[in-house]
Amino acid sequence: MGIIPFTAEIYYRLLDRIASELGLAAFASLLLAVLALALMAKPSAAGGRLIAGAMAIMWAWCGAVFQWQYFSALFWPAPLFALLFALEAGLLIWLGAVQGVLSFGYGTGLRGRTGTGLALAGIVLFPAIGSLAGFYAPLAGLPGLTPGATVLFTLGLLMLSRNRPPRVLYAVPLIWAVLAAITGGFLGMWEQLALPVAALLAAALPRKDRSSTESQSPGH
Amino acid sequence: MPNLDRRQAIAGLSALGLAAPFGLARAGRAPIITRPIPSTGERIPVIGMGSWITFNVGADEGLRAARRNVLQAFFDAGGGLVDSSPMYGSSEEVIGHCLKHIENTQGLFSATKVWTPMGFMGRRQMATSERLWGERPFDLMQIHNLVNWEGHLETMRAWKAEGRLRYLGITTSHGSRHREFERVMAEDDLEFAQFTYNIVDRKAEARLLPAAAERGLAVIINRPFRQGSLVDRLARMPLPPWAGEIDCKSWAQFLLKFIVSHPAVACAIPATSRVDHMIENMAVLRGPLPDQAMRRRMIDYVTSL
Repeated sequence: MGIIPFTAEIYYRLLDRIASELGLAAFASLLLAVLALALMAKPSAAGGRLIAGAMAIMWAWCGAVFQWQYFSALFWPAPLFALLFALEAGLLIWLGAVQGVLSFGYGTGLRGRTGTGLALAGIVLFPAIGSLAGFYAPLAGLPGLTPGATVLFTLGLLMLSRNRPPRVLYAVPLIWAVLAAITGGFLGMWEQLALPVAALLAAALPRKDRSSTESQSPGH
Repeated sequence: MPNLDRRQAIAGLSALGLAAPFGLARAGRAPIITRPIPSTGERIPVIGMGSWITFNVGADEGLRAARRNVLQAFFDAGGGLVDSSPMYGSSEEVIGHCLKHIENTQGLFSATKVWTPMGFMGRRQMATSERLWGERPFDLMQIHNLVNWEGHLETMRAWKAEGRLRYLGITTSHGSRHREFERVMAEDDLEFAQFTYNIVDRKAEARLLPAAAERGLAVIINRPFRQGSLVDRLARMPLPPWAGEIDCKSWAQFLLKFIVSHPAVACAIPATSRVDHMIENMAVLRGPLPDQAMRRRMIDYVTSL
């Protein structure tokens, strides 16, 4: 495509290089993701704040390391993407960790099961694709390290919110899902098409497992 | 084979009996085809090198090494003009890195662009490009896609007066904004014009190419292969048997010979990340070019496919 100045090979090699240069620090992302999933087993207000904080760290990390430090060398808009990711991190901190408007728990309905699936896909899908196809090391595909996995994981967790999350939290993941789908389509990075599908599911699936307080939840 | 160096590539091609098909056997005998820059008479080889996508490899050491081999093959084959832009990510930095680590770069004709809507940022951008390429005056600075062309042209004139660059140019691509481009081409001190032209995108034949010839501009042609898609499409079809009359052994050579045989064209800038493709492209620097009748035949053949 006329505006994308890199190839899929170069993009995947970049992911691999980031994970390689981060070394053990790359495991921190995996720990954060596992912590978030573990905290959801026993829903609580404090757990909700911690999970929102974990997601915020992933977005901030992905913005600072992937977008700002590495991707900006290949693609001139990357610093703008870094700001968007920082914005999402800030929103998660303010709305989720400070104001405590998010409460997470595994749901049994279609939306809940889909959310769980997306969150797990965020941890498994991108690392597995990179590993199986020989594109990059499994760690390179984790949420926090790569934007696609970060978006999938976040959309999954937002679907698992027991009260309706403020819509503003969906904005940046949706923007990235669209950009990733366009880029992935032109460069043949088909796994990126999972992002708009996840966004559609997050928007379209009915909230059958709503809590009784959702109509008064902040942000609406 | 991204990590192959030139010698390995030629050895490999020879072993497979492919060196002669790419025109390499004749390469040492025939003179290089060059075209004059009308404003000075200085001559440049008709095949240059673009860097869109291909040299945007960041700090990846493996890919940088592969690009060093590509650029070395370019200069070894007699190449001159290397074109880049700040829009191309890390391409300028990677080219600068390669230039520091390869030999035989005396023929370099450095061409980059300024691409920002604000004048003060243009000055900063051009200074950054100077630093990334190395400490030498640029041969050619072009205004990318006419962005803020009036503001940048003023700066470029000042830089030329200071000896920081030698030639001034403008660019467009994908056949866009031809009417405005033609109007800007009338500026007195422009010396180069870069736009898209290939055997299936011939819109430039109507006005831009004749206008450039009339105004004495050296023409650089971008997207000779439509970013590779044209070669990919034609690769499924057979080369016409008469392609041998102009020493074409591949579709890439066929397409490049068509472009550089236009009398108004100074240079085409195919981009590649492969040494074997670079050698194949550079073989066009030597040997016969099609005449008008052959050019018509080439168009008819490709149109019929």
